[in-house]
Amino acid sequence: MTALLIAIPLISAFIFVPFKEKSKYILPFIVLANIILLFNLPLDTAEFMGGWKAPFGIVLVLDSASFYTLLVVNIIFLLISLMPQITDKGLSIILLILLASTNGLILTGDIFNSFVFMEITAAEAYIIGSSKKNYYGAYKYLIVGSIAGGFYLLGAIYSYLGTGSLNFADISLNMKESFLPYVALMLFIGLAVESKILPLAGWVPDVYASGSPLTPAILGTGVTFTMIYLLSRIFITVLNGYFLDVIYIFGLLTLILAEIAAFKQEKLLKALAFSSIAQAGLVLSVISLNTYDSLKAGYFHLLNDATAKIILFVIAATIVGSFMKNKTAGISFSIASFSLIGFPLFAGFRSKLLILQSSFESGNYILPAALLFSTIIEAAYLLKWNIHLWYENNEKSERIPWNIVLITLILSLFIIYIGLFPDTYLKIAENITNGLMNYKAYVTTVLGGM
Amino acid sequence: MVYYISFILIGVGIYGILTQKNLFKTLVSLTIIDTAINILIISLGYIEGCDVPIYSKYTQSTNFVDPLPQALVLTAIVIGVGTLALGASLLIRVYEKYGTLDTEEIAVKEARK
Repeated sequence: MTALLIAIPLISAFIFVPFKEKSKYILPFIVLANIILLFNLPLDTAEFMGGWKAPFGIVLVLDSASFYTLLVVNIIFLLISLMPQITDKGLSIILLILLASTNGLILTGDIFNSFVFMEITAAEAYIIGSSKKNYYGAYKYLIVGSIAGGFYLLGAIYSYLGTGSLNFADISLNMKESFLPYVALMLFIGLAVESKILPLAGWVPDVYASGSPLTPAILGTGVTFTMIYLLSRIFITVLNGYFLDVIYIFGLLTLILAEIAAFKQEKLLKALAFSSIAQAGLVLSVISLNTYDSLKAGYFHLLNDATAKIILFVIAATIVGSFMKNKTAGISFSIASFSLIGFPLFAGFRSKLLILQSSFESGNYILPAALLFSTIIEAAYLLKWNIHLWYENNEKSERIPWNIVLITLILSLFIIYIGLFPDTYLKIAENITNGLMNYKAYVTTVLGGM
Repeated sequence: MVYYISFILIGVGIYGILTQKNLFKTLVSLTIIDTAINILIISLGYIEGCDVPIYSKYTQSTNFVDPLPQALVLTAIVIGVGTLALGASLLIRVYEKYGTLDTEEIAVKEARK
């Protein structure tokens, strides 16, 4: 039954190829069917594809971590698909294949299988990145992404050499010490490109700032969430916390350098792209502290960031001129940027407070310093852009379509709701953390109490 | 031996991507990396003096080469060809848009916009 989460979007993508123009109206229904199916699946089970038992065949694992990640990613896809102006030109079929591959990436318990799904995700990301005639940026992304895919494949093969198995649970039990550094390094290079760690994230501004609202809205939220989930699954559950110190340093450097770069940008979309690199770095450095509270805070912040980034990117890419003719959209943009800065009453304040608490508890003082420093820079450039967009006099202002305004308004009201009552997001973050930290339960689910 | 040759080939491919100004040559370098990784995987599964992993009445041997890397390489080749086709089609569009495949000329034309 779990395999249907991958099969439904994939099959419907091929069915709707002849009806390219109509498919954007059908897309929300397919995503909705996926979410309904997800709620009817039994938790903490593993499905053996083709009847081959765990270490030999491919397994799809649905524990509390993968369930809630699937829920978040599918809801992001639903929100994007409800704005049919954005998914124009047959790109909704690409979105369906992307949904199938991200679902597979979250569910799979096999390292080579995760490589295959990662390459499918990357291929769809190149196509989405090339929308609005941004072919050169997409080509650069393709080159970087394929080299990273090659390194991920090498990491998978070396973990096969070190254990004699490709299964996540089996690798975590039987990994030889001498192979660990190579495997960790190669898998990290492979995952760093998609989860936007700085020396390998040079493609992000080129692709996100191309002008199409679909590209940053889906790649910066849904795909990033999937990749950070996969990274924490591999480094926390499978490699048992090995190599996390290096990820911590890279995350901190990414946070500071990307915020400085965002401050210097003269285009709004480029500034937002660098800001999204910085948030990914922050989340990764918090996750790599590898305590229960820090993982919870990291995922809580990732959820807040995804909510705010959908609003910011969609409005920033569709608006022409100032907010004076689009007051509702302007208000949601301001709320989202306040949440990103971390003003009290908004959701971002709660998550930044949690991050500070959890890092102080684990005796770490560098991360809070970097977080406060980056918050100051973030406040400076986001407030500058807000003032600029509200007071700029531009004659050729156009109205934004009503459904984009409505969805971004609902999301921004939700940000305030989370700022007052954070329980909804905290529950999701807690459940993801439980699934990731409890590696004995994962091994028992997959290998059946061996 | 094959093991080290494939690492040298990966190095050649990365060097090509970093230094070539023509975009088509970077695509060729990318395929060199892909092929080198495939050769590496095959060489890791190879065991000296063993038979092909097919059991029939003509091969009486009980020692076989590890078949799993070969199965994985088949998938990796398909993915590599798919990426190559996508990259080539993007290059056609780049050429239509800028009239050149030289990175420096494209940078000049981008800056002029």
